[in-house]
Amino acid sequence: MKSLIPTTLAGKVGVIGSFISVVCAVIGPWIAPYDPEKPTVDVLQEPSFTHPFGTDASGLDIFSVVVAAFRTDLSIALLGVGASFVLGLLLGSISGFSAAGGRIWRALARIVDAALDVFQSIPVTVFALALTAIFGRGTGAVITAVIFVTTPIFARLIRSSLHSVVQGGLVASCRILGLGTIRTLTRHALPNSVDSAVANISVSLGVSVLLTAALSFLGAGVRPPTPEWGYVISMGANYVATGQWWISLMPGLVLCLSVVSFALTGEAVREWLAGAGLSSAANEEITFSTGQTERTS
Amino acid sequence: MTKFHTPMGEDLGRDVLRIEDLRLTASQGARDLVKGVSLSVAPGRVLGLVGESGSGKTLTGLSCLGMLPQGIERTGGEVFVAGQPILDLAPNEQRRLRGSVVSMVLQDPLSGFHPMLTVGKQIFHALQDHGVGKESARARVLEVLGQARLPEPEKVSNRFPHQLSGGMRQRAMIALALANRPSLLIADEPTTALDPTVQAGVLRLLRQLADDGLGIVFVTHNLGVVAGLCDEVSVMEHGLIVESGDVAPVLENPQHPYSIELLSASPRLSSPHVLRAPLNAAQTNEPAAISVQGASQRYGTRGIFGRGAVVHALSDVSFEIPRGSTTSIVGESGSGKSTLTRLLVGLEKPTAGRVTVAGQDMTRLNPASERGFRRKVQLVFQDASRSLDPRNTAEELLLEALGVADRKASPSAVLELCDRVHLPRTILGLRTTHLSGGQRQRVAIARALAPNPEILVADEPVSALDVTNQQRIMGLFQELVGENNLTLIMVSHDLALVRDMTDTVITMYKGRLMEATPAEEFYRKPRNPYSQALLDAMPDPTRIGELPTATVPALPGRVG
Repeated sequence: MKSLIPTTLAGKVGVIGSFISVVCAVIGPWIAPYDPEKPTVDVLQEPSFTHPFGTDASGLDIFSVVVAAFRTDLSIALLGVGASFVLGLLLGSISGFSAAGGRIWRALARIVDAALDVFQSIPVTVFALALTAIFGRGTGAVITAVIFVTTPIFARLIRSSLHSVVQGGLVASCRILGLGTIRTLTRHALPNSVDSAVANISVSLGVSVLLTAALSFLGAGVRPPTPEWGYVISMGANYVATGQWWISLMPGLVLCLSVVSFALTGEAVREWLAGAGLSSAANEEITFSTGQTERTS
Repeated sequence: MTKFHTPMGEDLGRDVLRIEDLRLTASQGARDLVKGVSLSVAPGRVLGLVGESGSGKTLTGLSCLGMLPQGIERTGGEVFVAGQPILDLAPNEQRRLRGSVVSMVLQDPLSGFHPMLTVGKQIFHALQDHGVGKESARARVLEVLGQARLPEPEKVSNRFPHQLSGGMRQRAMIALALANRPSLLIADEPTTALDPTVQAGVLRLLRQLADDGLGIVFVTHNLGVVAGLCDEVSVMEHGLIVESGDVAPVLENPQHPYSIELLSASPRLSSPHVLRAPLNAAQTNEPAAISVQGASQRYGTRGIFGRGAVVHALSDVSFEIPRGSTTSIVGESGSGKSTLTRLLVGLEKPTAGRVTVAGQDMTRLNPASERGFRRKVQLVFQDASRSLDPRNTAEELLLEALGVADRKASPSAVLELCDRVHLPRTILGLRTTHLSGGQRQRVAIARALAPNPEILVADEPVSALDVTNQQRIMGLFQELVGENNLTLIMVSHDLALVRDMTDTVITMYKGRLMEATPAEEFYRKPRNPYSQALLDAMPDPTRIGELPTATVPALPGRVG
């Protein structure tokens, strides 16, 4: 089994950053020095030892809010992306495996394909604002928006890998042997198709954190005073011109770092899956690719 | 190791290539890949560099261009190309030599061409890179395409690589390689992916180029091709040249055990082998195992406006195969043999005609009847690395196959199956990606045998393997046929390979059945001129200096 430690520096940075994010999400409320929802008497303080990230106009300790927001943002991301992955697996299987299925399967696949196209053509912000307009602000609407954005990506990743597995002969050989369609799909075709989708989980976590913050910034996200980065950034935006830069900058930096960490982790996962002993090096001839540019004969 | 290279001095200026004690190591794991190779090539001579995968022959070829892959280091030796030590030169010096002095042709010409540029443009660019003026470069493009014996050079020059057939593409690649008048050509298995008749044409072209003074290193695993094309041969094993010399003495009287093994594994048509007597089908009253009557298969592509083009993959094919016999279906790419295979195993239904396999009318195959049918008819795929799940161990794969027929299949049945295909029991715990090509194909065969089928269809089962493995797997098939009354259909493009085990030969060409003849008669004198052309095109290690011919007679092609 291959070591789980990423080989590249970027991968290491990403994994460490993601790990810190998760730790903050779990124990954040306990390490926050102040109550993230209760103002202190210090108003608009610059970052100092008592308030590492400063305070805002109402006296909230920014550091406490930022640390506590990990839990809000990450739980939305985890719930949303988790649901998307499962949904994407299902829709992608229906769509990608239709060539090996019967008539009903193929009909279902066409509906799924059409639905995915339609979903991806609706701008997500408009969709989320519409959700808020109908159901009001709240975590549910944000999670729905996350699912809405990330599901088609998972479904398409699964679908395209399944397509190439079906082309490759593995599925035909299962059919010749007499294995059922569902068994072929779940035991052979899917396990060989999920790699890219699994690697995409971490990337999607970052995307959904960004989306959550963006929606709060627009006033369509989670309901204040729930600690959330986007909301703090939007509040602080009014004070940047008057010199109180820390209110927006500090949560912005943390948001940026965690999103980048998730993206880098995704890349590390992709590399790990690609080299996870499935493509053998031990027994096969080393094959070399000679560069295109070098071959000017 | 045989001393081969010419002594310093008189021949120094003459040889276009001289490799002296070349040693290459993989920097990761410090594995020695080439362990002291010496050879030389004079102008107008063709050297065959023979070996199986992993022997270091490709690396040796690449080093002649000064193109060592990443992670490969030279630990010793020199490569002189036209007297210049190419591995010691600066990158821009190497580039100057590449193309103008030494050039390369690869197995897959599609990967050597830029897909978005026409063939002519690419040759033109190659010429300009070496400082040829616009006007003369333009003329040279057509000249060199003509030199590669491409009909209508102007037309070909304006085509994109994917628009050319495999043989034409390889000729265009040769034209590209020749553009700047090199004196040495490294050809790495340039004909391995080609059909026999097309291969014969490319070999003739290379021979003509050599006769005009080009020195050629021909890297291959096919001794038949070496016999026909090459003047000298060097046999490589594990990074060493184990035997070398002129082709005739080496192939007629090999000395090294590995050369002997390689030679005896090479399929041939000329050996005085007793062919199997034709089965007397009339005596047995049994119904035929396979009966195909007037089967046709069309593939329609739906155009934007109504009907698009229709491809007749199979037109009006009829034949019968008696139980317990071995039949070879032989044809080149586009002959319809793969389509026929898919019809026989029920992956597709014919658009017209009747196909009956093991008593099952294939047009009436439905999910209910398919279950029983699958136990009777099995298929061995061409490439086991693609048809076996890379995530499973050999044991899991065999257990799964046994489980289809018998849910309570035991591990002891797996061992039994393992022994039947001579698979070492120790590899059962390994994933298929960690098996050798031959072992992997044995797992695939074992899987196909698991339900105890009556009919086994093998679709080019050895084409991805080395010659020695090819022979072992063919031997296994022969053994299996003898053991139990198995009807075997061997789909192949290699008439020499199936010669010793087949009862009947069916040849296909452009979707039509050319002939179905008992093997004995077929190999003595085939009825059909296309079959004769196919036989003539087969390289044979005993036909030294005799290039296979490539004349495919004009035959009625596909209808429509």
